[in-house]
Amino acid sequence: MAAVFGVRHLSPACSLHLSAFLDQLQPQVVLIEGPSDCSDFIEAVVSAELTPPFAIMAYTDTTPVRSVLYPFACYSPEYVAMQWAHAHQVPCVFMDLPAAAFLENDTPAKPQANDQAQDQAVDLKLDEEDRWERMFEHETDGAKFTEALALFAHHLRQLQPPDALTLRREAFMRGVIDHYIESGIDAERIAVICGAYHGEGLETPSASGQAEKLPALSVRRTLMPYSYFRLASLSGYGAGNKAPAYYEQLWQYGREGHPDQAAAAYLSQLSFYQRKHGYSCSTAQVIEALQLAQSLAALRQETAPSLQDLKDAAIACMGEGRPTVLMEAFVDTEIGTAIGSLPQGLSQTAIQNDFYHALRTLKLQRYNTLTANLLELDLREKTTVKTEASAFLDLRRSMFLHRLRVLGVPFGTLRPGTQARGDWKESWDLKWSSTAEITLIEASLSGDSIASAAQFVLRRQLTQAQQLSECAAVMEEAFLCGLQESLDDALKAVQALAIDSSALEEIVRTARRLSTLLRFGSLRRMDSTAIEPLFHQLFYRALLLCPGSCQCDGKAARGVMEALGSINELSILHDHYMEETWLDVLTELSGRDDVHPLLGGYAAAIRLERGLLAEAELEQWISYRLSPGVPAEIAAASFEGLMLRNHYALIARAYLWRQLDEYIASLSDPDFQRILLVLRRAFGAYSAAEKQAVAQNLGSLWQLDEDSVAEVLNDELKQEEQDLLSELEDFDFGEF
Amino acid sequence: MENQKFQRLPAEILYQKELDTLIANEQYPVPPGWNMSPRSVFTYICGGRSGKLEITPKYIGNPRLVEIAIATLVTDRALLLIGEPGTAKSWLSEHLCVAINGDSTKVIQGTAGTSEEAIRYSWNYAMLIAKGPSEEALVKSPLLHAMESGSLVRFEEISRCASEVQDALISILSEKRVSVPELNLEIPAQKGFSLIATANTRDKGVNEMSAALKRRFNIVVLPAPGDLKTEMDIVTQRVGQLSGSLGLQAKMPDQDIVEQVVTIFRELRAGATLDGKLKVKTTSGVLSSAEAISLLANSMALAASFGDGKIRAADVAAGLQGAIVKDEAKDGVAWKDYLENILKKKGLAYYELYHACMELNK
Repeated sequence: MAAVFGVRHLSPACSLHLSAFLDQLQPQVVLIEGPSDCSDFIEAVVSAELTPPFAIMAYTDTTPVRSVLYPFACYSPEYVAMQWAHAHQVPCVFMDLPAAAFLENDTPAKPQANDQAQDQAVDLKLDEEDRWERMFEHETDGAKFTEALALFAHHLRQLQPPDALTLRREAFMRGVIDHYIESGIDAERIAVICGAYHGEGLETPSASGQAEKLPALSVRRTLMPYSYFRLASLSGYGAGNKAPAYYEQLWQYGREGHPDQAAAAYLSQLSFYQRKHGYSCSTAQVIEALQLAQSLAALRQETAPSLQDLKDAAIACMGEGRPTVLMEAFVDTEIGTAIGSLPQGLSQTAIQNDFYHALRTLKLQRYNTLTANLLELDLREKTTVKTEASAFLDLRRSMFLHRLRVLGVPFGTLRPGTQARGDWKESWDLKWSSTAEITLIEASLSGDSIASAAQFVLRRQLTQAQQLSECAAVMEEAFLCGLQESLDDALKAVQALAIDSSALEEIVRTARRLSTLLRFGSLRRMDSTAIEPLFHQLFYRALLLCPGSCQCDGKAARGVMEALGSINELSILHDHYMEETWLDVLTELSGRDDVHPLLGGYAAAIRLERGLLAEAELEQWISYRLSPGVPAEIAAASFEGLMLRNHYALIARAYLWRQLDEYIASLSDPDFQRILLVLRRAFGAYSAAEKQAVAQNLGSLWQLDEDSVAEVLNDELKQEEQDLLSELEDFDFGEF
Repeated sequence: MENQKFQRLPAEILYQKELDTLIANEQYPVPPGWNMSPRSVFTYICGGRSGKLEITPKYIGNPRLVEIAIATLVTDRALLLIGEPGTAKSWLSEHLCVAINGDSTKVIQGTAGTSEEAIRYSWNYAMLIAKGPSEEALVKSPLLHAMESGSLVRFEEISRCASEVQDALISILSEKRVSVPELNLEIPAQKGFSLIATANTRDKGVNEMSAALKRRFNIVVLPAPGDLKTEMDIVTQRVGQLSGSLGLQAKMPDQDIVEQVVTIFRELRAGATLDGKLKVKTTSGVLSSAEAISLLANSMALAASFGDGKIRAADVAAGLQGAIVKDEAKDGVAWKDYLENILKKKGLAYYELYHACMELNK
């Protein structure tokens, strides 16, 4: 019987005891649970140029790409065994089924299947990893550890009997072991490193000598650099550690023979991080946290505090009882930023494969050159072709190129100006470069296909976004990339941020963006049902915020005015959306005295444009706003607001000009100068013809001859008039 | 029984049987000055079994928080329980004292008028004038008593005391002794002494605690009830007790109404819908379970006095409006936003309530 050492993948305690086990056994061959067709990677893995974390990956070369991943960190028992074998010049191979066996089924098999099973094992009201740490990670006695793990695996196997694939794997592994025994090596000196779950499966003798039929599926294999961030299962892979950096520390201190120092080191690192980021956190607090953690562990009759104990203690002693204070420090200290690297030229990642495959299917191969080529896309459905694939070929191309752009792969450059968000036309410059290839390999850290990597990048952008506009930008990216899931995530984030925003302009801008997606969503064949309620919420919120936002100073008023214009436009674009409420708001704005007069006037202008300001009401409004005694600036601003829209409608109403005339006549000279400035600015937006019409209005009011007025108006300016005008330029705005 | 005439009995009398059983069945080592082991304290508070006796849970919530609180007291560090009003801070501190010492009566009740003497010591002035400073003339505070006997002292509502008064604790907690310079005397704390303080975070009239003082505490934040069902249970149970003792002639509110009120409170408090899909703008009020309880009791009083005794949506709506909109300008917008975007879409069950609320916001 071979010497089997059961491990849990990614467990420092296992690695520690494994080293001692190998030193004692001095095996002649080391067999490791891992895809047997990947054994040729072991040489590269143990080379000095490789820095963990890394992963062995196998993937199908046909679409849809399925992949299976074996991640390793410096504290992985398998990695430790490979290094041991290399140092002692002992042969070392993988002994599990070839990777293809895991890719046959549609669902990718998880190499750490036994970890998943533990979920159902025992419920101690702790999460699985914490439970594991409490039971095993702090056990320093090798014999006790092995015994306890074997017992645990035994119970696990009874709760969760092996499935067909597992049985096949175990039979295959037994075959490999038998092969080495037959070749003359003493069974006692064959070291077998496999998941503890398989221990019992390997002990039962092979039922038959029948050779395992190997799957015929063709797969590609590669080594790839990995990161602690990905290992920490934040990127969707379940098989990892939640706290790789913390586990690395357990491993380092354990190897040096001071396992008890890991807890103090962890807490000190937290306090270091806190101090560096401006929080006060004293050494005394670290000591108190350590005491509390130890006392928490003692409450459960455990020898050393687990990560959860340390965290809870840190929150109570260093974070004033609030986890949020320490959250960043936790992430930094537990996950860390370690990224692995490989010897050069080793990587042929799945994402590269996906890229070239996409070039083929999207008929973009001829653009894969070193010179830039123009590609014009028409995103609309082509009705003349037969298959759906070619009907939307350009749309799929566009999504592909946008995804690459999100990943930062400089393959295609979108020509500026052609990218009206909802437009159906896009122009790209395509060019292959070695930088593109390198960034593509780097992108493999984010995902195994272009789509999943882009999705990952967008999600990261989303978690970092703090401004509504940033989230909205991600939302648009997701829309352009055709990533439905990212779009839904982004919508959720936008909703969350919009709730806390009380800036009218930002909300309206976001609503505008949503409106674009709503109206053009069908062009990109995206599901826009989730957008509608959010649009409604933002729109309604904007309406609620209007009266408050309009009580502002002159500086802010221009921005708010634009927002009012946008709301009106959106309401019309979306089939008179919430029109009644919107018009109520406008009526309120135009009637109130405490909003900025420019905005009051503007609201009246919109009402006039929508045909909801009756003649009598307009006349009353004008006469109210231009009552004698109203300060010149306020009256002028009201009038300016009114004049900014529907010029002709205003020109046609003679009483309006009569009232303006009467008001101006009532002003003193300095007041007149002030109002002149505002009026001049207001009329700046009028065309020559409109100005002439205004002049004619006033002319007839003053009973002047139309022609002579026009003559004066369109004449060159005289010198003294020029002077007067330039005097106005220097006008002191005083309290404006 | 003579005890019957009191409004409320101390916990050590109410739960005497459980305490005795736990002490009798002790299996683990007992720290000095404690009546039972930390594990038994945990069982007493979170419920479980001791011998043949079922121990009722006293604190319903995250047991991990109780573990941290107990572990803190084992290390003889002081414990600070922080939380919004109505999160069972005082309740938990009382039961910790009862379990550990069998005595919850050493307590300082903090107010804005609490003076430093109430924390350290004061004098029997008649005796002080008659005999001069002597130990007989010394009036010891509960804290000093606890130090001498090596037991726990509770400090309720510590954040309501003036900051200078709070800071009297700083040196006591680090040196674990009180000096009486008038008598040239130092009173050291016996093993087992510790302090449990409770503090409100979101309330008017509280003083910020100094960083130096906070540093001397291990802080545990007690959250509002974790899920809808727990909170509904608490609310229903307490409304029942209240209406009984107040003699209200109304029917108990339907579970539907309780669920609706608790749901609205929870969503506005958490700033998100229960399913976590949508974020909700929060309001300035605390909206604790205690407020939900008084809102429902109030609706019952309305229905009993002016209606047919059955609670209707309109009765609840008025109470909701008052509980939620505390600051007209800000809360008003948030509440309308909530009504339009969340409540309106909750479907038929909420239809009546939605309309009753909208009527008030016309």
